[in-house]
Amino acid sequence: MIKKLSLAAAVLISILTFSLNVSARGSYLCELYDYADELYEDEIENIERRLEKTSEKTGLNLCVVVNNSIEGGEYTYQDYADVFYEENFGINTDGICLFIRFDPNYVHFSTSGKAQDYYNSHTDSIIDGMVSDLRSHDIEGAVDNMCDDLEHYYKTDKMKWLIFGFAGLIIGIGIGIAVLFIVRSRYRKYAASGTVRYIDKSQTNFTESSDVFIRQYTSKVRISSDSSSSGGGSSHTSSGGGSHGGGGRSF
Amino acid sequence: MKTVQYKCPNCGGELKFNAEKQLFSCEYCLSDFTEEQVKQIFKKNEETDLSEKNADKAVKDFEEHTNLYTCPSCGAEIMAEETTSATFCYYCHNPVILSGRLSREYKPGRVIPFKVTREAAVDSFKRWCKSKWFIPKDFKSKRQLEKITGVYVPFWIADCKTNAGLNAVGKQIRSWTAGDYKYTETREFAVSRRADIKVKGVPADGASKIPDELMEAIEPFDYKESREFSMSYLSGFIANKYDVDKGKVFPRVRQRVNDACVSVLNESIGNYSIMVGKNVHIDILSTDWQYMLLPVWFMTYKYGDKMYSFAVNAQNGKTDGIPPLSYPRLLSFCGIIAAASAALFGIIGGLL
Repeated sequence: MIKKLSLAAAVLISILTFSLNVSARGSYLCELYDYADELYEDEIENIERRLEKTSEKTGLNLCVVVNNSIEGGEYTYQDYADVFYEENFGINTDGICLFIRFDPNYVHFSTSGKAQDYYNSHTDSIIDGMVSDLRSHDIEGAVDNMCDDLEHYYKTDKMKWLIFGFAGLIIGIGIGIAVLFIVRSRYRKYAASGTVRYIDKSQTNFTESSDVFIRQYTSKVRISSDSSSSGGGSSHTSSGGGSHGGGGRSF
Repeated sequence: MKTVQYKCPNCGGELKFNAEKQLFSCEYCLSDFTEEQVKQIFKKNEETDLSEKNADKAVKDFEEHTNLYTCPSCGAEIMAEETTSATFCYYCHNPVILSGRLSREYKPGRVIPFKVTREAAVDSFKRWCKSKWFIPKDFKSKRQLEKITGVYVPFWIADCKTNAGLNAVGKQIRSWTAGDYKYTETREFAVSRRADIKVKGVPADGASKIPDELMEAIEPFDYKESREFSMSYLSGFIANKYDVDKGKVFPRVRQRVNDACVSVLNESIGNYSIMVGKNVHIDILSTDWQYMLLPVWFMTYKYGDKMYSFAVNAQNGKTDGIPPLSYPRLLSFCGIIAAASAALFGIIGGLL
């Protein structure tokens, strides 16, 4: 608990004392924090522009934080990134926080809100795209690659609506056609009429009624059975209480 | 359509057969008369044909006092008593013209009087329409309801003596499992049935304008309530002259008799899982015919190029027909289903 409080305090202090830039346009925000002093002025400007552009396209809050002073393992970095996001943009809002640390090298890609739906399944691929640039301390290149991926997968996700909607339309048309044919066939038929009612049972006589046994035989078939199964994925809750996805790794 | 036949002895107004009361009533002075009373009152004009002695006279009466009207538009032929005023065709609703008298062969043997009133028939139609979502609006209009007409439909009623037989191989199959194997035991029997079957009162309408399937759909009629034909039953109604004779309806009757016999034979066979090599033969040994007028409330509706018919059995109220299908309504409904499905799947796709 003390560890969590101290982590939150560290994040808050960091934000209050060292905010490089915050740009807001529409309902989303973009933030860049370079606590490690890894970036030049022109790099900062380029990264800001790129984050704004991607944020505008995806409607997500974007935050990049470079901090070499955070100590701990994989779970500490994950919690730092999650809480950093929540402190900046609020719990369960839609956005991403990219945490980068050098010596030892570590990158964590934290997603929140809708960003979990869009990018959780692509986390490995997004990090793969940044690793080579990060190894050469090219943060601008890494952020650029991340933004490319964010825009690409956002489009793919948007396509999902379209694809499902189109599939639904096709299914709906299919149902509509089926309804059309069923209704049409019902509007073409008179009720069936029986003839059994006209049989005069008092004047019906069976003159022959026989069931003669012919033969008997038995066959056998071997019984066979098959079975199969499959599984799915996960997300986690930060110490701040928000739901996050994504992942991270050393590079 | 209005028919005038008998004048009330009290006020001189029109006497009509009241299906609800089963009496002849005067709408003006509200007098009621039984069939016997009507026959006595109009003894001079219409001799009773209830007794065999007067049969010839009844035929003569039919020949002399029945007019035949023909519809120049659709060709329907309508019988009505000679005092009948101008009438419209019950089928296409165009005016009909007097085209002559009827010969004795068209005199029906028996008639089942109307029991269901016009109001009850209209109510049946309205109930029937309730479950039909895709009918044109006009189909239920007041103007359309006015077209419901009481028609005596000519029927050939057949009593057939038959000899029916069936031969087949019946299989009794049972299965069980033991270890890794499923066992199936089959026992085969030579099945043979032969029976003398009487199929009685099979109706076949003799009016080509009225769909056969529609008349079959509103069966049955209870022939026990049938009476010797008298012109007085036509009062307030019209009758369709038959234009399909016994010979032409016989194939339909034979098919229905065959179906009835097959069901009797099949019912006598039990306890078999399947029947193979079934061989059925049905011989109709003799057929007795009756020509009868059966009461039907009938209505037609022209939609597009097609004529749609609706009928009510005026003895027991059974209703059937084929409603016109409004494609604009149906396509709108299908469009809504398609749009709803697209929206639903779109939302599901977005949530995934």
